[in-house]
Amino acid sequence: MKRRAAIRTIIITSAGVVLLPSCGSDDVQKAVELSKIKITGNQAKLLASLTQTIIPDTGAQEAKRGNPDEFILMMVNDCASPDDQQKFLTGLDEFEKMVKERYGKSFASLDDAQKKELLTNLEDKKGLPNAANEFYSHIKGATVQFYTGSENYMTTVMEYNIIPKRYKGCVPVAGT
Amino acid sequence: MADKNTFDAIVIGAGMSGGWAAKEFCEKGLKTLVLERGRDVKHLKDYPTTNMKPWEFPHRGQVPFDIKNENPVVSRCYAFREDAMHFFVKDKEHPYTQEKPFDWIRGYQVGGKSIMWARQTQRWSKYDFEGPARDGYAVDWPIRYEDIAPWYSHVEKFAGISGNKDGLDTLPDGEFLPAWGLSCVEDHFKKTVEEKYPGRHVIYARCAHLTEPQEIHKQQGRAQCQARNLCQRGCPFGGYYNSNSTTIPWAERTGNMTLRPHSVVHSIIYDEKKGKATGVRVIDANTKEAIEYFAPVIFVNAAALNTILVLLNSTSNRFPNGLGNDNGLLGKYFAFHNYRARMTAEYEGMKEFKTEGGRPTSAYIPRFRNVYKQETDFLRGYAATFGSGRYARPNSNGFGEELKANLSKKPELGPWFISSQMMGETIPKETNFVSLDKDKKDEWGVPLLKINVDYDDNDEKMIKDFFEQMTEMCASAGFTNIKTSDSKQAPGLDIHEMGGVRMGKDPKTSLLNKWNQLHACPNVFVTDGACMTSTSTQNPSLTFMALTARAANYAIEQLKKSEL
Repeated sequence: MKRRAAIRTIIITSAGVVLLPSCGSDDVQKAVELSKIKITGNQAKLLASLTQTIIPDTGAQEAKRGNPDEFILMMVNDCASPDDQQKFLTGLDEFEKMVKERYGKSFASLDDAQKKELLTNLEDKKGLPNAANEFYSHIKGATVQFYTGSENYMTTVMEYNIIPKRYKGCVPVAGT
Repeated sequence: MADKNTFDAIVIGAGMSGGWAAKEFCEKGLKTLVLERGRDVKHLKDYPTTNMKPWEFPHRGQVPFDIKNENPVVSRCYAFREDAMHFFVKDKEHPYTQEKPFDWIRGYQVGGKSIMWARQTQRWSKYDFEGPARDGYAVDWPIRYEDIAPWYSHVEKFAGISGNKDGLDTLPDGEFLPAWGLSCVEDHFKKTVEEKYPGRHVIYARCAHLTEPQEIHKQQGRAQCQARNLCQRGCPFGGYYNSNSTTIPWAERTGNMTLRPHSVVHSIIYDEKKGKATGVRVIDANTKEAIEYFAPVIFVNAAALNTILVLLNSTSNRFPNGLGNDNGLLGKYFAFHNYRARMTAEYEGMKEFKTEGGRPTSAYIPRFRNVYKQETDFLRGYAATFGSGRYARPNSNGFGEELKANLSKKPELGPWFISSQMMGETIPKETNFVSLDKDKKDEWGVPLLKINVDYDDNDEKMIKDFFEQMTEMCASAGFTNIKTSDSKQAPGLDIHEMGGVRMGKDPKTSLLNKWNQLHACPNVFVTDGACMTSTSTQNPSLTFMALTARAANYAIEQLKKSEL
């Protein structure tokens, strides 16, 4: 679980928010220090593990994009209202509590089959508390936003070009 | 000391209209002082985000919570996003007093709001200038379409306007560069409307973009618009018109311009013996030092509300209630555009087609209500934007490898999405006014502006009519899922402030004459939004620019004849 090592410290400098590897990168109990919210090691571990399960890493090609969990933490810290920040933190804890009640261990410790079972139920909104469904759908939305907003996605899948040079109001859709 | 501070002309404000005054004066050899309360923004050099890709913005375009929370007014502006927020005035830094809610959106810098404007440039028609006289509101405009038409051409040729010659008397043609054109669905809507609703039109909206640069634009150092549609950041090609790329550097190149940023104009100096204005009092924004500058002619182009503020604060024994304010109407009959009403729809047809590339404009529906005669239970009418496109919908079903596989496929396009926004004329009224706050001053010792502006029953009726007419027209074009919404936004968010120093024929009922001179102090000219007698429905900047160029050339002639 390379991801687990990816707990980072977000520090604020005069130039803005930058991400730096924390010194003890395997020390998952260490709280992630953000300027406005405080994330415990366990919360960070859950978020990393959950976003990894939603969109697994495939290695080097995407490594330079950063991680969705870091993106989510930064967005919650910088852009969410205090109410929404609290909702997010409560959401993490309640989600973990729900997992522990059902499986007797934390989400990050679940084996692949258990994770698959849980996420299938969350996707289908089947048999789980509504709060868990909502939290999952929020985290999934943010993970997808991170993924589809990445350079790799925008340039390879979407053919993003900052200089389109032209406008054509009526061209055939390819393949029709 | 006096010599160093004496010029042939002073222009207050280096934005949309002030840039034009500077250009005209400097080109004709006048030593011109251009005062700007904000910082300098140099074309190309000071557009820090212009080449940034979406993924390079830390918050993907979102404005951080603390900034929004401290600045609720500007945060409501559609263009106040991570990529351009540095060009907008923060509420917190420049407070004002709202007696009624008013979203005052400002750009304090060289270039002003011309950096972030929406670049729509539709001419007024004779029906617009004749409106107040025919319908009995405000006062009669002292000019007609014919007076301004050559100056529209003058501005259009220099700025570069993309458009079609549509041959409409309601929206006269101008000097156009090629148009990008309409989408298939916009074209379908155009045909439907023109067939089923005689007298109504859907056209390609004219915009200030260089679709085919001419010699004059090359001399300005500007290049072809690349359809990036990231204009609010400032354009590395100079593809759209802003003062920074066009009028200001043009003025600078003559060697006649002295540009002084960080210059808050406190007031205009009136000399009672000479019976005219002699200069301006400036507070240096940084050092707070008070400095006086002198010139025989003064152009006030501080953007409507600040122009009113400067005049109200220019008091003397002769003008105890503000410069030129003998009739007590300064700051009154303030108006704006009603932008509350929106409509969206979808179209299930033409799915074999899509659009390609980018287009920094849209389609446009010129005003069709009450044009030739009064026909509704409300006065005047509205124009509307009209846009369409198809949006990619990434398949985000599932999780894990399945989700990754779904996302790696090129997303399918949704149906055609259609949107329209009303741009309604508001009726200037004495009860919509601004004044000076007697109790509060800013850190430069200038009283805060107190704003007292609201919608009225005419505006409400117009919104209702827009909803009905657009719904009917869209339904007749086969559009579905038609939804209307009223944003209930406060006045001001349209960013089309107009009036308060209105033009007119009679000094008893207006402040400015037909050449934009204060009736009571003719060497002071007001040619920004404050001069507008009525608002009509067109995006107003083109008209401000044309009025400015016209007035500046008149002032130059009068100076030559020693009439000022």
